[in-house]
Amino acid sequence: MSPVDLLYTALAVALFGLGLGALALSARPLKKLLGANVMGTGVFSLLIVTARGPDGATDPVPHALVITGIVVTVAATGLGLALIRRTRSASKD
Amino acid sequence: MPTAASPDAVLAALVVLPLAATLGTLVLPRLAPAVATAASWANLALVAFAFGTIGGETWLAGWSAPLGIGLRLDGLAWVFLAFSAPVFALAASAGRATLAEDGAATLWTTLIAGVNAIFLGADLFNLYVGLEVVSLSATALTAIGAGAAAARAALRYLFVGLGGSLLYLMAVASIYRATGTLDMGLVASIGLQGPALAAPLAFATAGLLLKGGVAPFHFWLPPAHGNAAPIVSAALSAVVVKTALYVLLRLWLDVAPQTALADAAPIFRALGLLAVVVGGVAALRALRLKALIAYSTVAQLGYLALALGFAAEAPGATVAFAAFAAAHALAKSGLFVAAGMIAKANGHDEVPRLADPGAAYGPAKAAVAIAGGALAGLPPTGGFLAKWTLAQDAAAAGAWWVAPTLVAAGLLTAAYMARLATAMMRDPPEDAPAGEDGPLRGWSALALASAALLLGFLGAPLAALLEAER
Repeated sequence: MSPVDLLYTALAVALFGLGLGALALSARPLKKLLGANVMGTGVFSLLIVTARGPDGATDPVPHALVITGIVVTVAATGLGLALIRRTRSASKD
Repeated sequence: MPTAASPDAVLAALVVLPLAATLGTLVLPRLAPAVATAASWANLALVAFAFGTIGGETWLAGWSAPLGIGLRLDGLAWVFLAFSAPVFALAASAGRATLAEDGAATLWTTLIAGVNAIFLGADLFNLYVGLEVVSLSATALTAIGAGAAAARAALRYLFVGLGGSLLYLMAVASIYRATGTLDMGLVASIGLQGPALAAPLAFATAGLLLKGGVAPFHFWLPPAHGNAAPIVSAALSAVVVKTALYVLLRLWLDVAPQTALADAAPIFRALGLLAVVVGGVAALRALRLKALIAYSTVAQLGYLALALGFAAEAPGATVAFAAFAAAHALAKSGLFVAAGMIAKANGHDEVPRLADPGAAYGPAKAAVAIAGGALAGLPPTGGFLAKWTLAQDAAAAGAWWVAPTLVAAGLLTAAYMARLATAMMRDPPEDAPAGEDGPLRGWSALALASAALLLGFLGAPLAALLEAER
């Protein structure tokens, strides 16, 4: 593994850990939701590093996985925001 | 196995049919509840038909591994489909009012598509997509027509689902990094070792235990299952939690080497015991009826973890796992539907104040009695079959403590179910809201509970079905 790949891998794992920490430990729903997004970004970064082959060739499969993952994340974030809004409007009643 | 029909068409149809119904609910919003109910029954018919294609597999769009996405129907996958499909069909029939709520029918058929895709999935990433589809549609279903408490429970459910899915996805990414493939069979044949195997297994197991509600990761389950509409609670506890535990079983059985499962077995046994005790005691103390049933789910999920803990030594433990999953799914969905009717007839759902809802509720009361017996593992129910199989396998593996533990857990189950039985013997209060709640619901609940009873007589075919593959 080249130094650049190693750096990206370490950053990806760090992002994943930071996001997991926010998701698990934060008390605020919005922060939790952002934490899940950061976690996802960590995994996606790891997949993008994986796509870079040793000889410079690019493996398309991880890219396809990342695109699918982003679509899922957008849907989940939308649902999360809608639920957060509902808990807020409900607590005002 | 005989292949009368082409597995390609049948396996693809199991995923495509509910998805097409999802589109149908969007195109014909007025007919959405009818479309969802019809799709649930068509799905049941398709699963029955798929029995003839067990052992088949198909590669979507003709792309084979390592690039393509495979769907595979083995005995285990068929058993899981076969107990989920009647839950969806009967619950849809019992809950037309819930399905008429805005968006519910669309989410219901999407849930079925995701569940089928997971049970048929032979590709680790496709399983992730299935888990997310199930998790998101289930989360949205719990929030249907709900107040602040349910919205908060749904939000917590979403966070648990997201965290679990992303832990699993991290495992998938690490496996792809190490092997260059996502096909479960190919990954197994490559034979990962050391940290390259242990790290993804640890991530995936943590994520799936969280999503599966196995103690001590069950904190989210009772509020989510206890605040939803009855048929949603039925689908969540019968099928949705099982999808995560099914992936967990597949991962340890089909992807990880047997020695790894043997090493991890004590963890699964300990978690299983913890779940049985924690869930059982909480069910005994629960004030609200739906909380009681939800904590009972926590306890029953412990049996699945316990069975997984013996799967390395005893091949029959897989039969016990499937039998526990099926018996619980059928009994618990019947119980949730019946409990919803009884609580509605009483006008509240506080267990100490519940009373007999009257003669019109005969099928619902019978469903409660039969489901209680199946959950406690009384012979000849499916619950007994599962316990008997597990106790024998555990004894063969030298774990003498399992049989008495299962008996004690059965007594605990009987104790909390007895709270419900005594309630049914109390005379109704004078001011109880009158009115019948549609006979279809009661009969649906009774049909589900009776299926859990009948399962007890199917031990030999179940074992034959599961052992044909291994």
